Amino acid sequence: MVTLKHPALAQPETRTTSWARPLARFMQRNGAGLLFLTPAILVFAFFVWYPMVYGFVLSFQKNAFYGTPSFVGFQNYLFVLHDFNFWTAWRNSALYALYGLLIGYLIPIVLAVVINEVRRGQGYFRLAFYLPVIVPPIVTVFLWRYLYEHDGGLINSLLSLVHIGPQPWLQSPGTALPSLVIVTTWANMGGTVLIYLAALQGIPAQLYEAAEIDGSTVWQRIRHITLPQMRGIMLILLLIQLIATVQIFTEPYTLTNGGPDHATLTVMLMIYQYAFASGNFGAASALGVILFLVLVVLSLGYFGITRRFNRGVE
Amino acid sequence: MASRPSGTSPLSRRALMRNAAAAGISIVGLDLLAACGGSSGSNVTFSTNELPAASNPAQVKIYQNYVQAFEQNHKGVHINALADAYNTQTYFTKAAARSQEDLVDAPFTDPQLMIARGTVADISSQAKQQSFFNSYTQSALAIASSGGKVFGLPYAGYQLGLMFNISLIKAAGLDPNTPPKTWDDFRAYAKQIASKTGVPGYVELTNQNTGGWHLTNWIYTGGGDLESGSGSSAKAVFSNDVAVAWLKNLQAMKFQDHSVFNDVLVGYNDALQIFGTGKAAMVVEASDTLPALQTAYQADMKNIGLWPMPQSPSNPGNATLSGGHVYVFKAGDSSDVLSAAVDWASYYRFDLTVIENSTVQAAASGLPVGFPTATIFTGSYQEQLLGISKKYANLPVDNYTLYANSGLSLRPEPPVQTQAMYGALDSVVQAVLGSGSAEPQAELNKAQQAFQATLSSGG
Amino acid sequence: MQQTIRWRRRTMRQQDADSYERSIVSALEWDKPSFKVARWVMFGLLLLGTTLTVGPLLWMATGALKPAIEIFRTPPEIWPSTVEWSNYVRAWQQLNSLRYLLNTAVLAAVAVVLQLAVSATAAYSLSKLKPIFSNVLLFFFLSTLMVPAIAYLIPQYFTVVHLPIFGISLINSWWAIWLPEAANAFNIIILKSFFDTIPNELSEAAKIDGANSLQIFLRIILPNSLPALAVVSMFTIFATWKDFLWPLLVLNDPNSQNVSVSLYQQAIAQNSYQPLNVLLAGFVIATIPPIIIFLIFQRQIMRGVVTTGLKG
Repeated sequence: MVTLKHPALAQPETRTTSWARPLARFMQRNGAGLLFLTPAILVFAFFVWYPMVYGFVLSFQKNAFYGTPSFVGFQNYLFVLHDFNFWTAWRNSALYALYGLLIGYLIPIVLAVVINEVRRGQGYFRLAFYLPVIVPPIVTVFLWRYLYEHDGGLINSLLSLVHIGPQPWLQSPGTALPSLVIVTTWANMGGTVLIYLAALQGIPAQLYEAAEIDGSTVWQRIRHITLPQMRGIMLILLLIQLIATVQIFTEPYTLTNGGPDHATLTVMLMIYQYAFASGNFGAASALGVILFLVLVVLSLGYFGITRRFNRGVE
Repeated sequence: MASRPSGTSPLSRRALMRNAAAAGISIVGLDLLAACGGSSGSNVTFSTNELPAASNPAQVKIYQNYVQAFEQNHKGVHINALADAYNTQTYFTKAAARSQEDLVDAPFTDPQLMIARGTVADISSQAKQQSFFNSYTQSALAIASSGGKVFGLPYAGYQLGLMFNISLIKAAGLDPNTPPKTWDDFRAYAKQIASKTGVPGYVELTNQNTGGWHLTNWIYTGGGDLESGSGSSAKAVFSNDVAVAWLKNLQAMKFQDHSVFNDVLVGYNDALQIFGTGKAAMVVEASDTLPALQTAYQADMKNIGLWPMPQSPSNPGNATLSGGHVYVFKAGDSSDVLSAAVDWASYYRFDLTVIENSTVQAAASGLPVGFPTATIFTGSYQEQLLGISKKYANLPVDNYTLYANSGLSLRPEPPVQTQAMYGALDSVVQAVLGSGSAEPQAELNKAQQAFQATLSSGG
Repeated sequence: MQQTIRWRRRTMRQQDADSYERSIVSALEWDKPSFKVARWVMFGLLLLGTTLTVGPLLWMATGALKPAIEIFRTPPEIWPSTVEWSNYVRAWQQLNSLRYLLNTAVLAAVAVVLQLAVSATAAYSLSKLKPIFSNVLLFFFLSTLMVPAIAYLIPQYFTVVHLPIFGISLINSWWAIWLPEAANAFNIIILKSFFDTIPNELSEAAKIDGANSLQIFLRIILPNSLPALAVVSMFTIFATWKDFLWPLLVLNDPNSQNVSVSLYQQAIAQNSYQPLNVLLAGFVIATIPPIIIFLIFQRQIMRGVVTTGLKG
């Protein structure tokens, strides 16, 4: 077969410019994806990334807002690093995160699995455990002050019924931090329980059927089906909860405000105090940047470990 | 002092008129009084943050009546009133964006920080033109002044005193008319109350910066100081003998006498709740908490009395700390706006007839009237203020006579980084109350060293 | 495309019958006598747990009926000595409740729509479409969770007062609430995790049938993630409900404020002095709509859509 190769019938490509074809390919591959990302990118750019960068720049300034701003290099960072309470605050935040994971990470998973199993009252349980999230923070403060009161508070009264002496709870430096973690777990676990409940819905029934036919026990089913199926969401929530716990502010601020005697002074509280008690926004931003860097390193390490874990399993 | 009615009962206009007529005052003549300021002539608008919350429609209406009266007699002035009750966080955030209100009603504790940060305007010239200005006491002026310039107008000051539960005092065999004069007396009283009634004699505030606030007060009663110098060369000097002596006293009260309320963390509202529900017999408070005790906690006002602050036995300072409200004005406003705003403040807060009307309205709606205010004014103006308060008092004023006539001088708060200092001192008080073996001197030294860093950095 | 949908529905119906009952423990096993003890123990522990969470709400509700001085009495009494129903009436009147509840309802409703428009689309793209730079973008989104909000509160306020490029002010407009709230990396990440569990074969099959990305998003991804969407929507609604510092900053007009701000003005702001029991009554009233909303939405988590057996 003879093909006519008349110049007039030449391929269209030679007529277009050299970048059009790769561009078309690029758009075909990425166009939809980028388009779908546009709303998020716009909103984040204006209301989060820009303020964040602005805040970062502020950490190198003094008197940024009131009066004449001046660049002071790393002075704010040095001030923060040399603060008397700097290491105390980091220790407390780390302890808080640790307690938070021990108490606040496992409990929602267990609750979700159990709630998903019971045949009656699922709706009631779902609502009941979510209630603390709905209750206004002011009420939470009233409530837990009342519960934790040393003489005659509800918890100590109940303990005395079983002949356990009154505990100091928030009043003693040794027990204040765990007591706070209990309050924040109580206040926030409802949301996590819901997320896990939603994830549990996605586990196909056939898997359980097959396992049961194979004669597995309930524990085996949980270990080999439930947990692996939820692994994705469990892992990501671990990281997010860690990040979020380090940034908890409302309950510590209203219940103990760093007391007693700095026992519950967290990095977040320090940032707040720099910003609004001292009006020193440069220091607040500097400490915020330091916190950010620590969390970034943490997450990168976390992704490294989990990727290796995933690769090993798959 | 001129407490605003909080609308606990719907106040019909007719009822108001009836009560006002009974009191011999005509509210209808309000607008005539507003003319005293004179009109400013040009078109000026300014914003205020003191509009009562929308949940109190009666109060809102009353406020708006005053606004209308003022506007009618100051042609060209328009007031944009917002219900934006003062909050440190929102104020400084807005100030950063230069969008705070032109006239802000703030507590005594913040103006010095505002002045340091440059968020408030110098109103010296406008202030000096006001008739009541010369009646200010020196310490009152110091609250919102710096370097000889006036930045704010304090009103409604309250001095800290020792509030006590009359029935518990009597049950312990003590006399409500014999206040404890020194720290030793005070300690003895608390001990007696605890042993005779089983109720803690005293509850100390320790949290949310109130610990430092109260410690400052006690140090003042011992003639001690907390800061010296000003600006970035200020020095923290609160680790001194007076402070150590008081803290040792407090610690002994807690761990030897067992007369102090058990909790180590006690915030402002916590203390009100504890005292108001009879869980402690004495607490250091200012008289402006009486409305809260009556309305929020529904405490029996006849059962609450006020004594002056006990002084140090060895070195009486004859002083106490004060709290209250102050008007501040937005930095960068034109002098026209500032004049109009100062005129309004002068009318609404300091004009005697307006004050009397407000008092009548407050009394009519069942709010507590007649609790003693700190003397931020002297002379005939002060006399007249006292007269109004006495005339419409619906509180058992006799319970407070000792406090009102104490003659203690009012010291202003330490000006540099006040809130941060209070926060640092909170830990000291918490440590001392948390353990019988805590060393007050060591704790004070620690806090002073940490706080000095804040001072030296210029904040 | 149609085939895919029909196929999905068919398998759904097939499984609905036993998937509803079936999770770790089958219906049969559950009824076995050996399970009875375990059943009661589980149930009992759950109930005990709920006393910790429901108890406070009851305390709030009954506290609102007590004279203020009784509320904090220790040891606590459950029923008030004199019942004051009038506190609830007063709270309703003084809260000007209807307006604030309506405001909050509108705020929450639009917030949910925006949330889905912003977060679901981004999650879809990051999960399924994976354009270039998506990992970088994912990290940028995640990083916003790691910066303490206080540190950029003031710059964020600046942005709202004077929007860069456009130069308009959003103060006093509800957009000042909606737009910053739509930027929520937590929701993006949660949704992405859920979308990841939807098998790619579904969208592959649809693509073969000629569907474009938008159709796949609307007809396959979203319907298969109703539980996750319900959860994210609920979080958004409650966040809007409870949010008070930011509305306090940006909404100066009292007519446009939400319930939490008005409660705050009542409780904390100077000179408001509401009796404690009326305040508690106000809180209880403010808590009821979220409970109702929760009850409506939570059915979505119950009857989830089950993915097909292609997984695993």
